[in-house]
Amino acid sequence: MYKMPKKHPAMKDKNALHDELNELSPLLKRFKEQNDGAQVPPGYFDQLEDDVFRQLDAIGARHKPPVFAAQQQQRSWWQRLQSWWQPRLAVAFAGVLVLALAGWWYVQPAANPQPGDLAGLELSAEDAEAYLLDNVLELEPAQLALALPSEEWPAIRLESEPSSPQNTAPAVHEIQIHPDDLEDVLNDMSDEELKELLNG
Amino acid sequence: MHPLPVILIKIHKDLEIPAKNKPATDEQILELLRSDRSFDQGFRVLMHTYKERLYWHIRRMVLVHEDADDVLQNTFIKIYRGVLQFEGKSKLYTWLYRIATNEAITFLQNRSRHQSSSIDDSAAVLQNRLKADSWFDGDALQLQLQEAMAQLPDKQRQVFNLRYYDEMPYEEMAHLLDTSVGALKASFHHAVKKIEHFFREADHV
Repeated sequence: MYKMPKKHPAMKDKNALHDELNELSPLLKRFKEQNDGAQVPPGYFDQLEDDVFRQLDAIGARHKPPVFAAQQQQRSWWQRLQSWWQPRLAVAFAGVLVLALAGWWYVQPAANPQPGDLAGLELSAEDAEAYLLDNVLELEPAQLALALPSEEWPAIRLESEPSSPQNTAPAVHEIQIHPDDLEDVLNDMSDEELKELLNG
Repeated sequence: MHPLPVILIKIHKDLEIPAKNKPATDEQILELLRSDRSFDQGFRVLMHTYKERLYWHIRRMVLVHEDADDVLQNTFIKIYRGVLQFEGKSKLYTWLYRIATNEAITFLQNRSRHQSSSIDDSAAVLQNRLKADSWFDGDALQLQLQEAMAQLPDKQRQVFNLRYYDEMPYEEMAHLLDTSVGALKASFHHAVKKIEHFFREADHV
């Protein structure tokens, strides 16, 4: 009996991409089937290693490494502590500690909340929403992520063009977003998309 | 883009790449890099194995061959200087990819500082640079696609390139970019919609 050969993982993903593009953008699928026009000079890759070594020589960066980092002999915590406990290092360390403490004391937050700091204010839900809409461009993505109602965190709805002429309703995709990645997604959104998201 | 076959290289009896006509493995490369005597040879094998993947990754970010060549050479110089710090906690390519990405982003930021901040102007500059690039012979639509991609935010463009050109599975991409599959699907979807919108606005479809 003939058995269908198992698909190579790379081939499986190529098909997955084609299906994904078919659904999202037939236009981009069409472009992908064409040559993208990017080329390299003949022999470019063959001489690249020599070019890099020439550059390394030119800037004097060619070296013989002493030891590989992972192979460096691990010193015990006691040996490391001893090396720190030389008088000169101890005095320098104490000086840095004093400066750091003085700096921390000086830059402690003032009693009045700073612009963008919502935590110190008592606002109604409407005021908070208006504030966010007015200041959407000044806020950091992390602040926006905190400001979004928690029930909107796990998923973002994305609408795309109708998948076929028969089906006129726009296709809606709901993609699960881990809260940790929300900042990245917000970072990549345009101002209009952010406003739309906040308007619900 | 697959690494080219590695020719048999015999450094001495303990350090040998026995894989004729096969790409070197990360372990073989690192083994060569660990020895003073074979460090440069190991670095040569590293470049040979990953140069094409890294080049195309950089080229899709900076678009023009001359720039991609500069950024790739700087990337390899950084790798040469820093490879001793590689601790093996991730795949070697993941580490190389991050260095190349940072190098390309720094290059783009430096270039945009010297150019006009207007989006229309930078699109025109890009169009001129691509037209002047002897190593780009795409048609008008491919040129428009590059322009559309250039207007994507850095992270979205990165996700779009990895998915659209490299056809990387989301799971692998999530590991590479240290984010979730859901976030990557959202980024790719947004990028595709923005590119389509660009074409609709330009009335090319």
